[in-house]
Amino acid sequence: MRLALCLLSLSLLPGCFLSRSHLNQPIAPETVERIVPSSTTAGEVAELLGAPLEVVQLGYKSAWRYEFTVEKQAALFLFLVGLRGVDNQADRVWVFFDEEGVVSHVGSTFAADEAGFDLPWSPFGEEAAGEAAPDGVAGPQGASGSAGAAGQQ
Amino acid sequence: MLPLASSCVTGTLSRERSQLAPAAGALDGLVPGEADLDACLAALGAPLIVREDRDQQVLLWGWRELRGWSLRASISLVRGANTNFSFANDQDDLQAVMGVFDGDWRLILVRRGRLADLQQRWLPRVPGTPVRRES
Repeated sequence: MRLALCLLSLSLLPGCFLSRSHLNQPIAPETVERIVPSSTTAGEVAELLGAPLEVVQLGYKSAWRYEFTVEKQAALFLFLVGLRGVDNQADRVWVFFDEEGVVSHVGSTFAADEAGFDLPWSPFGEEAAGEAAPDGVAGPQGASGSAGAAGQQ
Repeated sequence: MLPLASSCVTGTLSRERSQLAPAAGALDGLVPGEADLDACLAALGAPLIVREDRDQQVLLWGWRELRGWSLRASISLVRGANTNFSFANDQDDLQAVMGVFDGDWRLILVRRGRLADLQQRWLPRVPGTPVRRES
């Protein structure tokens, strides 16, 4: 009888897990700021950021991609119900080069730190911004989702 | 009985987010013929995908914000024979904004929709194009 009660109690206990994984090396915003359009060359970009994850040929021009990805998962298992949240965010930089191999544009998004251990009821970016601004006016970019987005020429 | 029952019917609530959706109004200033690559990068950040399609450049920004649930049932009909039933109401697709640029990086087209649809419609099947630089 005791054994049965123990087993029954164990079966009712919830289980949970948190996990964090990342892919590639972090990208420092200060390093990206040192890339100056019309001045920095492809060789200098490679010295600053290393080998790109992807190279796309655009006719005589090209573009390099750098990316650091973070994924966080949270899950809670109750008796018959499971709750699970997955958040995948990235720091991503695209460097565009002209025909001479000189940087023409830089686009960057730094959102890896935005990844969170969220469960199903957690609000998304726009919802969170709406909660922060009860009059329905969306907050600045950082609050509503495009944190750290920047482009420069 | 209870441990056995838990293996018969289980439900899962899930939330999945991948990348960040553009801020409200981020697309307002991106007018074809007026905006350029700088304006798009400033408003939307770094794109997910950059490709060349003939003489045009196609950039895609994508994100997923999904809430869903699933139900799974397993019933033992006779000894050694089980039947399973599962249902999920979530759709695994990314939303996206696509910008098409001319050779001078001027925005000539903006589209919004499912990433898979935009890729199928606009992007060449072979990723990237051969290097055409003359040696």
